[in-house]
Amino acid sequence: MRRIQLLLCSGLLAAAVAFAGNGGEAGRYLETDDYLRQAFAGQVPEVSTLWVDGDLRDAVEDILGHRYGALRTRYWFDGETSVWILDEIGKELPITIGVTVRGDAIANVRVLEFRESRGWEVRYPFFTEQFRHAQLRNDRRLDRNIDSITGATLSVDAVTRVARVALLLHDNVAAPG
Amino acid sequence: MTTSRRPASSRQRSWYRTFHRWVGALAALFVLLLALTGIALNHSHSWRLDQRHVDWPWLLDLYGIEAPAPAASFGHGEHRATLLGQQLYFDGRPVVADVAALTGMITLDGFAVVGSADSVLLLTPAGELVERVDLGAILPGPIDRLGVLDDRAVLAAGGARFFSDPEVTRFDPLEHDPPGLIDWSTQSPPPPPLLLALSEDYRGRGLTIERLLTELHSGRIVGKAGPLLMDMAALCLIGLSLSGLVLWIRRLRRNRSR
Repeated sequence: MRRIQLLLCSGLLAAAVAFAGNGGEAGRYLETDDYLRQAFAGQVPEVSTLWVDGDLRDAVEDILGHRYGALRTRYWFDGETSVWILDEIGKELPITIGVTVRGDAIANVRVLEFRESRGWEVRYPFFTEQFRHAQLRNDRRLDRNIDSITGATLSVDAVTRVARVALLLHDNVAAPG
Repeated sequence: MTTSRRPASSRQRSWYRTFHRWVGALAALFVLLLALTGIALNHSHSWRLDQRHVDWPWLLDLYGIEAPAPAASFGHGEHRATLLGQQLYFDGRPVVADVAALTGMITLDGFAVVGSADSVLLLTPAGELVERVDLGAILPGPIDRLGVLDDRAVLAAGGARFFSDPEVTRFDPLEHDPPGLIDWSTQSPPPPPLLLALSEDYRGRGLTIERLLTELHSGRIVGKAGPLLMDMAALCLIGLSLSGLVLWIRRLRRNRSR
């Protein structure tokens, strides 16, 4: 009986591999303007810029584990909700990621553009939905564990880092005074 | 009288030992190379071996890594932007490595503005990247040229002109002819000493440590025979493992029979 079960599982696995398609490939999945319209229900505020320097820069680079590539980043903020469009390298090429923060928690994460040949599974809701309602702890880590995807570890790590950075930056612009 | 079954098994054991010894000696260097490069490649990303480069001239010559002629170069004021391949240089400093085109460079109060095909890069006077402003969504075509008017950036794209705000956070269409003259940036060749320095830097970015280790690991660094040599080393390793196992099992059995 056990042999039959083993044979059955092997057969199913082989069939899955044989018939599996490419699925989602690299590409531009969503334009920035469309993401903003979705995030702000059509009422997109004016773009603002935030200088990432001093202590803020140190904190961002601590999260990213490398030098932050720019001195200034742009964002959209309507008083409660902020949207950040950030690039972060997975293995070799940048992934463009949109993060919407509402209150002090993530409302939405979307991969807007994926440029590499592997790891594009991070674009799917089964992965990005994990970030909904995530908050930043005092140690700048998320308040939850994000399940990884086999074969997409670097992409998963990149998206997770960007989510943390977006929460940090939101705190910076939403802070009173 | 003791029946001896030892001589035959002793001969076999001696054969396995000899095999193990000689194959081990032959393969030692290659196996060491395989193991060490393999360990390094396993940690390539965390050790940033894919971001660190080898700049030994003799090795770059071996790989045929040359610097291309500048795709474009613009000077404005005291500064110059030059594009080699897709590597943008500001004065002598590498700035960004994925610039498809260089269409102009101007300097404003506090910023240098470098035009690419569908974006502008803002730099500090020291060449640090402030921001890359993506304009693809608003431009009717690729950026043709970049200029300055009243300390604001002006760009021409697809027959239209666009005017920046003082902080260069956005570009708005220029509906009417401006009252003054736009100072458009023009191409000029970089000075030879600067070009030499940029070319040497460009070459030095052509070979990552990761790539070198991969080629050592596979043997490709010595040409077509290299992978075959490494295959033989791998087969030797398999032989060593098997002969080692046989020797160990035989020893176990021998110890038990005593």
